[in-house]
Amino acid sequence: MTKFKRIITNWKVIILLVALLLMVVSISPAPFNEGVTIRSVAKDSAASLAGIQSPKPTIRPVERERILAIDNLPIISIEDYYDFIKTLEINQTFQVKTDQKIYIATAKEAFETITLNETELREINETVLVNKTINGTIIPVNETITRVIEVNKTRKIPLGLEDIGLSVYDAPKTNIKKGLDLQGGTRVLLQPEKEISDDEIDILLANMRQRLNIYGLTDIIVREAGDLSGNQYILIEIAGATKEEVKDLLAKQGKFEAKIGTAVVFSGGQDITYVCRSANCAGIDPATGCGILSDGIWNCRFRFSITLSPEAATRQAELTKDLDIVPSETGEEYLSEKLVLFLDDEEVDQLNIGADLKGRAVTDIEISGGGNGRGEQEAIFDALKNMKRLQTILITGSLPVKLDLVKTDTISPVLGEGFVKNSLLIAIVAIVTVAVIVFIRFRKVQIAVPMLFTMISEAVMLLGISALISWNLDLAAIAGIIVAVGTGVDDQIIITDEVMRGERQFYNWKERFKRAFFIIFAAYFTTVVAMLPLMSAGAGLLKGFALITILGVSIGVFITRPAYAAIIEILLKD
Amino acid sequence: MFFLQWVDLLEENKNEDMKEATEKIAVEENTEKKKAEEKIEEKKIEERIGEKAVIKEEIKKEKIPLIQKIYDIYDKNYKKLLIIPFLLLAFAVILLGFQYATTGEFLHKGVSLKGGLTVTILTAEEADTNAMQNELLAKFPDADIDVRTLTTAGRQTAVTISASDVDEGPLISALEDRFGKFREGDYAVETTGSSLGESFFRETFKAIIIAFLFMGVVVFIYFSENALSKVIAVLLSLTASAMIFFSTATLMYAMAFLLIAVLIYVYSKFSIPSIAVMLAALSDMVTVLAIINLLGIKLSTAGIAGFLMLIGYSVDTDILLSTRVLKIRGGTVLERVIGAMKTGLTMTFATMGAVIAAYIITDSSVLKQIMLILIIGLGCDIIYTWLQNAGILRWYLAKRHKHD
Repeated sequence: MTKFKRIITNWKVIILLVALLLMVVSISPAPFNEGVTIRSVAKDSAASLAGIQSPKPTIRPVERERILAIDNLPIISIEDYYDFIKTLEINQTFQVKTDQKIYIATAKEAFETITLNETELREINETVLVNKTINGTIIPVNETITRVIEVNKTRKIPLGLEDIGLSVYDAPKTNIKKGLDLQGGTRVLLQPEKEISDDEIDILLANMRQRLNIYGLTDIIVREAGDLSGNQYILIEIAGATKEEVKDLLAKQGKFEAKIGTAVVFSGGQDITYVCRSANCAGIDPATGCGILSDGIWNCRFRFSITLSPEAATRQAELTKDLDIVPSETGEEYLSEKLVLFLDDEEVDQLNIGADLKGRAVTDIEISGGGNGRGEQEAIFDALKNMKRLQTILITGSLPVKLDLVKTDTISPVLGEGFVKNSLLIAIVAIVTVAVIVFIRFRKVQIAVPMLFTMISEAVMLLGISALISWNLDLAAIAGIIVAVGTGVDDQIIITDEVMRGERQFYNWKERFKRAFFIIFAAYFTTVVAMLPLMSAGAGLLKGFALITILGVSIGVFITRPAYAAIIEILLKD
Repeated sequence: MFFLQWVDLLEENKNEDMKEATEKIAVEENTEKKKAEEKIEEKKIEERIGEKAVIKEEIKKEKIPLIQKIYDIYDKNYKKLLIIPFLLLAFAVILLGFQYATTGEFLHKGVSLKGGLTVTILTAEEADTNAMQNELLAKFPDADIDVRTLTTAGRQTAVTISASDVDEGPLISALEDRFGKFREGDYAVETTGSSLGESFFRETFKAIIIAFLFMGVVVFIYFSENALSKVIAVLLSLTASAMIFFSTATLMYAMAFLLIAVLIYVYSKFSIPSIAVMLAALSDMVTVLAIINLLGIKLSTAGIAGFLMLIGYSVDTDILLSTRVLKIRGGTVLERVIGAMKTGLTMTFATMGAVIAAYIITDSSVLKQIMLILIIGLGCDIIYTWLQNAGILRWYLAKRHKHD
């Protein structure tokens, strides 16, 4: 067997090659991807009415729907898209061609609705269950009847062209998600409604960070700002989130209260010790599921369980012990008052309290709510979004003060626009430098070339893993990759050195590798335990760095370095 | 994992033997004889290679008297050479202490860590942020500057410049030099706070201490010979770490440090080499911090990442040295140290080469900072591994030999 064949059939090398292949597939490089990718579609917008749907969160970045042309004008970059938007007029119909379908959309006019003090009479249609006699039997039948009700007069003020509701970004060429450091993101400027002290600002900042983290947005920067006239602002930078999401999460205080009558039973934050977020007790309600409402809108119900603190449970017992038991139509017994859920002083839901809870301190409660959409998919999406937001608010409690959204724009990355291209060049030069130095020391091409190969594999695999777990690649991750590949080089030099030493005593290859790997594993364990505490400290920066480093050195020690040892054994053994 | 590797190496060995056994059955005696002859030949070749290596070494030594001199100094005066790293360490500690006393911090923070002024200029003229950043940094060497652009609807709308340690007046005039005189409404000035939370530094510091405790335990387990002491060490380290991690009261911290002192005592009694490794890693980080402060480098969040990277690199070389000297037989202590040094210096220079190349090529000031920290760190690592750690090891082994 030629040496090359022996290398390819060595099982350690096979594992490496298979892993590499998986990683390249995970990254899915698509350098010819053009157009703009749809990040989300706003509800009831022109785009949504045309049938364009928000991408499911599980779809990989490269495969998401991309807009290629509008009205047969090719859209190559985000500037092209916005150039077209500028030319849109009210009621103009245009054709959107994506890589999957062609949609026809009409630009709508935006209105502001003002409620007047006068009232008017309006006819509405209602569907009611009526017992009708058909062929002698009494059957309940749905019948539509017309009623006349009195409503407040409203006036619509035209505001001009309504945003067509598409949030887009330049089509990604790989599945690697770039974080705030590498691609910039949305910058939101918020202003507290009233002036707050320095201490309160600190609490507010910590609260906001926590809220965003729990919602799932971890690649964030939250800081305070102020202008010279003494106004206070909060500046937030987020990668990969829409303006609406930020507004939903932060602009409102998120004050959640559950009341019976006027007394508060429990509120978000401290009263709630646990909020279920796993699939078995949180999600679309399997009992009620989704259905179509009368006007064609889909509605889905969600539910999730929470655990109250003992104090809140006792409060609930106190407040329910004096209530009466009332039987309902379905035969079950409920208490005379309902548990009403309020979010920012607006009622969001009413829950019947089972009769068996009267006077009992119960800590497990199920919260439910709903979401709407034009299609079932959109309704599910909306319901889950509302659920996530409610869960976040229940976990973090309310913000100390209400915030106004002053401004949003996109901010460029800290590392500069050309960073990614620049890094590719740097990576190549660095790897070549290492190979040259190694060649100077050991004077064998059979060592330098495999070393080059292993270094590149380690880097590719780490990038692949971050694409696989949808990790936002930021500066910390890059630092982690550098550490992993760097220690990889160190370890390979140790292996090579062990192999090359011609000593008087006859050590066979097994012995040599055993010794080399002893050193490598000692260094590996030391590095891993050093990274562990970093994973738990102040989230964000440290966690990313520690995680990628641990992943990187592990891949190195178990996959790439054994393969390297096998390769040079075959190449040098004669 | 080490055992798995080892076992699988043995398995491979076994499989190969089986194959050979079945082949042998066909032509048994001849192949046996041939093998025996081959083995003798191999041994002869090995011996010759070994002898050649020794002769090469001696020729090398004779040919270059300067190298021979350095070699001798390194050999005989390792105790005196220890003065260099310890002096450096003392110097670093004093510098840091001075820094803390005058500013209340251990390091200079850049604009992303402590905030500063932000000037937002409304302009649609596409700006090269990296070039502008470097320009401004050249004009204000004491400041830390971040330049970024703001875009709305796909087009650039503004350039924002965040700067610390520079006054509004000079900054505005420097910007006017580039953009032309500003009119009312062309720009806005704000103050921005730090982008890291309040507790970030405290938590990072705690995490680093716990990291060192954990590292110490792993190294101790590898190099100590007393099993009971390993158990004690693990228990002490875990308790101290838990205390540091969960505590908020100073009493807990004090108790934790007491435990650490006991731990250090245990380490010095049962495994001086472990202390040597931890000391080298610690000295490396402290010295790099002091040098960065001396150079006036304003740390950004990137710089902190660079700093943490050093932990991995410095530990590698120390463990290499300790393992080669303590765990592997053959040759004098000095020969083992020199052997390890050849490998270790190759490792360090290879990494340094790559890092220096990156430093030169990149035009991102952020990346430059990380690379600079690594270059300084790797340089210090050479001193602390091959002078400090090696010196302590040789002293320790010499003392042990005396006792034997």
